[in-house]
Amino acid sequence: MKVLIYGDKHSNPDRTWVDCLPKDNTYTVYFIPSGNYLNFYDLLTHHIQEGIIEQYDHVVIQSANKPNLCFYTRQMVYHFYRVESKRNNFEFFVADNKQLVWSSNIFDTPVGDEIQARMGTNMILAQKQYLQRLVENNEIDALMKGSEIRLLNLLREKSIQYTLVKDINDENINLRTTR
Amino acid sequence: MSYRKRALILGCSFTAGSYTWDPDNVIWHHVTQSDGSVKKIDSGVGRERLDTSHPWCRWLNPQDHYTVYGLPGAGIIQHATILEQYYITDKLKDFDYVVLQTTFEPRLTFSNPDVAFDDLFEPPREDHKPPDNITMWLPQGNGDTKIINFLNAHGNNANLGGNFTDSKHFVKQLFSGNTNRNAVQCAAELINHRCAELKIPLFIFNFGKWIEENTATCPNATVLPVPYAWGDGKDTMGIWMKKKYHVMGWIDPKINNRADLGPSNDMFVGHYNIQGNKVIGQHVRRALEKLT
Repeated sequence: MKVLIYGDKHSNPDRTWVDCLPKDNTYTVYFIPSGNYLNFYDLLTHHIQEGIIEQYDHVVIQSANKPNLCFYTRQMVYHFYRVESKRNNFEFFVADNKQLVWSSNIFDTPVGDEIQARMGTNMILAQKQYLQRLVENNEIDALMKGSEIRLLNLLREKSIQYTLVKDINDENINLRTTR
Repeated sequence: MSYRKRALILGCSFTAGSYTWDPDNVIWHHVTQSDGSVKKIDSGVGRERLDTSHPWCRWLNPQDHYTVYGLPGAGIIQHATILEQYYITDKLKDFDYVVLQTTFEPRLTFSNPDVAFDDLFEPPREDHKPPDNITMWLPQGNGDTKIINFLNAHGNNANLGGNFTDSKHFVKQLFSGNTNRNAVQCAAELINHRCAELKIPLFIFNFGKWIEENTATCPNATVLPVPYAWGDGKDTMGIWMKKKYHVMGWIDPKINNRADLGPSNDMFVGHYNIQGNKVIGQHVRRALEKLT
């Protein structure tokens, strides 16, 4: 079976949760380090439009869908690059950070420094703290619930078999029985 | 009091009440500058005063009861959060139908997580209350609750309370990606899903034609067959930019520090007055009475 995985930073090639997946499948992993269901929706939509989804028998969505609004440019879906992996039946692709505009606490990281350089900004602490309000608010939980409903609706509408992996420590992931 | 039906109405400033022209009522933003100083800037709103006693829902069927959230500056994300709170507390099922008034989206207006849900909203002042069949909720008045405005303002660019005037490219990139539109659609999907789950009819009151371009869709909802309240043309209510119904006026150049944004910022185009709200309410009443 050919399996397409959408995941966050926990789906990079160095993480081991994928070891519990059946060995007789082949896996293509697209991971968006800070992403969640909102971003996976964009990528899934792109893969549907391009007919890529038809190459796969099953989709796995790996994410705890933690509260975050991860802002990418609209071109993000075209900018994934291959990441080397020693796993035989896996290939990994990561979203290009050059398409990232903002994510929670991103300006405390080197990626945030790169974004600021690219945007020609030099934000003061008050501005960085202001942006954190995009995810630290009363409304974010409702958005996360809505994002799951929306993503699942799209998968069902397109009759795509899928499995949600919310807990990467769950060793009993069964791609055959989980919808 | 026994009512025929109970409705939840979710809207923005257009649902909060009627307005009167008041050019002296300027609402200022206190904006942190790159050097850490704080500058007082004209937010571009105000110039009119809200009276909560005459919202458009005053002209709906008086046999029904309406719980109304009229939230200036808010959008569907706020509405989804309110509806979800009713759902979580098992009170959404008490409504016979829900009316969602659409507004200028995407509108990411978020509130302070340190403020409990029940403290986010307050009723109107005693002397500005609508009739007894309307329970009106407005944003809590001291201004501490709203913590961010990421609005569709100034020609499809973002307004972050003026705090990023020195980072225009960043703000443009932040606004022009898919995320804020995705967030708005997620809110719509949540509203749609909860109403469908509890079999509560959901009605969309599309307020304006321009607004529809960015309006999120609720697949199970019924769009009310009413003309647009906002805009001109044969498919509108014919009240837009007419002094009898609509609040507008020239902004005093002495206090207009938005003039650099272009000539359109010389005129303040506001909300509807009592006569305008009466026309809106009557249109919506006719539509709802056929459907409820």
